[in-house]
Amino acid sequence: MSKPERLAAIDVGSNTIHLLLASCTEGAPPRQLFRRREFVQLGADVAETGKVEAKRLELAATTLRGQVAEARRRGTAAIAVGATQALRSASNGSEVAEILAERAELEKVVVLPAQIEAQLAFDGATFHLPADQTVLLLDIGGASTQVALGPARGQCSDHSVQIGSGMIASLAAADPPSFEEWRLMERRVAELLPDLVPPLKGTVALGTGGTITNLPRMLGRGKGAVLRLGEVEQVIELFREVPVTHLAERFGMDLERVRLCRGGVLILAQLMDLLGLSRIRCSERGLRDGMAMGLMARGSEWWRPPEAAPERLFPEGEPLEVGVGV
Amino acid sequence: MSEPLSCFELAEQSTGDRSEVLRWAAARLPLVSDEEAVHDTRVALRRMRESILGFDRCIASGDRDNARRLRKVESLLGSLRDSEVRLQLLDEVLGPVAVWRDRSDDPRLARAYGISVISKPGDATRPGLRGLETEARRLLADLTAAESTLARERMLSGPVLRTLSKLSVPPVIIHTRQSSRPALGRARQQLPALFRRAARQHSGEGDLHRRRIRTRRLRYRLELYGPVLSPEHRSVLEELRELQGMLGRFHDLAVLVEWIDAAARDQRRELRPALRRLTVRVELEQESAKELAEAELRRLDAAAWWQAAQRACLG
Repeated sequence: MSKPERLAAIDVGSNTIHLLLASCTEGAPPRQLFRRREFVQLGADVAETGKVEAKRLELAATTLRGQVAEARRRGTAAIAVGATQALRSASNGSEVAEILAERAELEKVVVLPAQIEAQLAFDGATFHLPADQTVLLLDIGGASTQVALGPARGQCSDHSVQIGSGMIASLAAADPPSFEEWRLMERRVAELLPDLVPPLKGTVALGTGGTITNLPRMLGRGKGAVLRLGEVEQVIELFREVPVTHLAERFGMDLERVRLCRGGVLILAQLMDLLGLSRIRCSERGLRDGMAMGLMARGSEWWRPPEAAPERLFPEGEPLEVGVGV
Repeated sequence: MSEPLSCFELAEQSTGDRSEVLRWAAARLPLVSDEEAVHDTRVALRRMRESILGFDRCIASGDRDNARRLRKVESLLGSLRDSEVRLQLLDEVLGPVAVWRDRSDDPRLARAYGISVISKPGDATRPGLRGLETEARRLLADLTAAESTLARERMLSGPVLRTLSKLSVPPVIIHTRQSSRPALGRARQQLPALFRRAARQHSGEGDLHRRRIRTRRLRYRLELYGPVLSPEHRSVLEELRELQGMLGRFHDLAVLVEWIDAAARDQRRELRPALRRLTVRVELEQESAKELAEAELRRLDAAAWWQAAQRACLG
């Protein structure tokens, strides 16, 4: 077995910029050593104007620079930085990525294609599972949601939906949201989620992303808990009645994270119902773990698929229905 | 040349005809299979009430209070009618309960069917039931059916039927100086104000609701005075009936959305995502009904149709 290496993965997301420092060994899941997360909300600008504005770019650059410095101070051997939906859809996304890389003194900030993002999250979330286990992974981000299905540690078939916790949460200004605001949030979720086919029996359902990893805490459960759809609805009830300021205080969570969960939980409940999932395991692992694993295995080409991807089951270019009996 | 119809004659004719219609409609009420019996009875009650209100000065004092009694029975029948309308709308908007969605786009079956499994984002709310929607849909139908049965038992109990039977007897019309005047004069006194009210625009949420009520009022009163109005009043009535249908559909869908919301609160949590999606579908339908009704009202208002209709009816 190779010697463990200390590697860093930073995900420039629509809601947060999130650093993971992990001890990585080839052929084993990364061991998380340190995490740092800051709310920059690039997605808010993109939703409003279609691009990242100068002020937000400045904040993102400072934050990323700080996280890179932190990772280096803690002895990282290499850093992988990947950006997701906010920069994917921003009209100035590639320009912003270049500026971020320059300001943080990095070789590159990779704007990850949705399919690569899904595969990296899938790699990170399923690496500890038996290879013959079929897994359905829901990764609810700030501006997009990836639904991926495939054998654990293997190639997944994915479906990226342009809907995220930040996008939905931003529809409500009142705290708790007014009746009309709830209606609008529910409606947007119902309209944006496509038709999904439930996976075959025996498929393990995993969830990752900011909303899902924080839900167990709001239900008084431990990390990695298995949640039932009824419990997810219980959290929705809570959001309908209690201001997020109270909830943040009650659960010892960031106010902004709780506010974002308000949107994410509505997406999760709909996805679980549409996919026929009565329960889902909340995974603490995901995109950043996959990035760290990629860094360990492929170095500076960490985001590239390990080999020529096998022939896809479905045509490219259009969203796919997930739930395939692979 | 024949004498113009007097208020007395028209009151006697309309109350006589309408009580007969009411008697027949009420007789059909106990027949569960007669889907239109409740609606027909309510309409007959409203028309009878309009006759009494329209000719109140010709009605014997003992029977004038019948208008209030008719209103009471009509609202009692309302809850039964509401549940029947709800069942129809649920069927129409969400599809019949027993039908399971076409799963031929299931990727597992796609190859066998030789069709694409691609789902277009715009199809997100296409017809067909997904997730627990089938169960949620069935639940809505069951709840409505239970409410309908309860309402039927309550409405069709002895006292309500006895009251209906009493109200089906035509009121006594009395001869007075006023009742011998031409009915057209009475129509000219009453109809302009009803036309003005129906044409009045309001801002805000309640506008369509107010206009629905006023349009209905105008239509019933026009029907009452129909025999003394110019023949053109028939096309006015037709237009009003069409408008009322549009406004009524919007109202029924709005009530249905509220009802699903209230019903969802008491159901097991797992069903709520599906119930939320069903609500969205009804809301979309409600919005298109609203657009149609508003467009029709705009068209009539812009063409000063109300004033022209009043002139056409009264000369």
